[in-house]
Amino acid sequence: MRKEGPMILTVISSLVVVFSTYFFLGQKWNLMEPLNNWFQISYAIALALGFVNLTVIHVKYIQRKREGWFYSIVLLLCMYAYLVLGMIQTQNGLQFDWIYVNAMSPLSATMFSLVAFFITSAAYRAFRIRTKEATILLVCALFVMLGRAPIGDAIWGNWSAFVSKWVMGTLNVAGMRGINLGIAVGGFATALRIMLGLERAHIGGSGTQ
Amino acid sequence: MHITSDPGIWCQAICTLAVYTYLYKDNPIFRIAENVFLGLATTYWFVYSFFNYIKPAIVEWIGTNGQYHYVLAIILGLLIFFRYVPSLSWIARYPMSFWVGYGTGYTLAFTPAVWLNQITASFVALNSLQNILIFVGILCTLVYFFFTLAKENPVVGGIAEVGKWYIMIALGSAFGNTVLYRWNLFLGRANMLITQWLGYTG
Repeated sequence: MRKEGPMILTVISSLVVVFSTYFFLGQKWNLMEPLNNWFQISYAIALALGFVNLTVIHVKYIQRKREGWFYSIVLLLCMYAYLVLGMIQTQNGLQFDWIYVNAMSPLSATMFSLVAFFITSAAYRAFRIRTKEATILLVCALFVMLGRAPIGDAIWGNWSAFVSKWVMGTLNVAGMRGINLGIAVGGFATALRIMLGLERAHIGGSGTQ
Repeated sequence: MHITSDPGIWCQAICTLAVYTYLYKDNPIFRIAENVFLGLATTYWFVYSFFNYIKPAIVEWIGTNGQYHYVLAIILGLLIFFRYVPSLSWIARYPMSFWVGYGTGYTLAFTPAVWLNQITASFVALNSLQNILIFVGILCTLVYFFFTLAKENPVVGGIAEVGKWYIMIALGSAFGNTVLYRWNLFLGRANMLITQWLGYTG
């Protein structure tokens, strides 16, 4: 029951998806819709695990007065105050939505934009390596950026857009398609191994058989 | 220049500036902003999934429509909490197995349609420099990923080397697009601060 049960459940759930997609009876019985709902419901409940886990970890931090425990109080206060508001008002509530628009959304956008500075310094460090591959990567990135930003037009006129478009539409297509095909074949092979019970890492096994 | 009195814009500006203080160095203002973001985001997605999936399942599908098999889906989801009971933590493998199985089935059922189309599209008529470069590039890139082929062989090694250049070009393009996207986000934040918060219209 500890290993065989989960393994059987993995095989059955994967077979049901394949059966309901490729077989006439599967399509006729429309098994995909309830299975999708099963996935959504159980997955949504699992999100609560993340919520509970964060609470457990940060309560421990506060109890032990670990370094930065004050931030754990901030985190828990925000989580539970927003949760109470959300449960009272639902996700479409006026104040709940106000916090989403004016706090969570700008924080999210700013956090992601912060990466712009570090990614630029990473590019500079990569350029200093002076290998053939790093140079190709950065020259290509430069062409793409100049072709899609107004400064490229200001320096080279229409040429920058033309070169960028050519790189994206020809050389990039070939490289990216090769990478994607590699990923797809690898993903397919892994999926097949999981369905056949050869890959067991998800049930705490040693990984491969 | 006319600084806004809208509390929403003020909140956005404070959040934005708090995060950007990190550009100087790690500091308490940034740490507070980081934790506020983590707390709000965790709760937002929990509330979202509760009102979109859990509540409809209990109230509509089970309560109104009588589709009682969804009770099992709820129980399956709840089994994940057995992670907190060390002696019974193996029970938490059941929901994990269901999700992995669903994902596996989904990959087997739906991804071939996408990548088979990509293979078909790769066999282009070799009547232009662009098509030749695409065809040769795909073959060379795939040869690079054939780890069972001996790269010491000069022909295979040479083809794989060209494949590596193509991969670098593809990664460079992806890198360029990522940098542009992140800078776009930064410009969006800067634009909000200058035009909406400070009221500067040029």
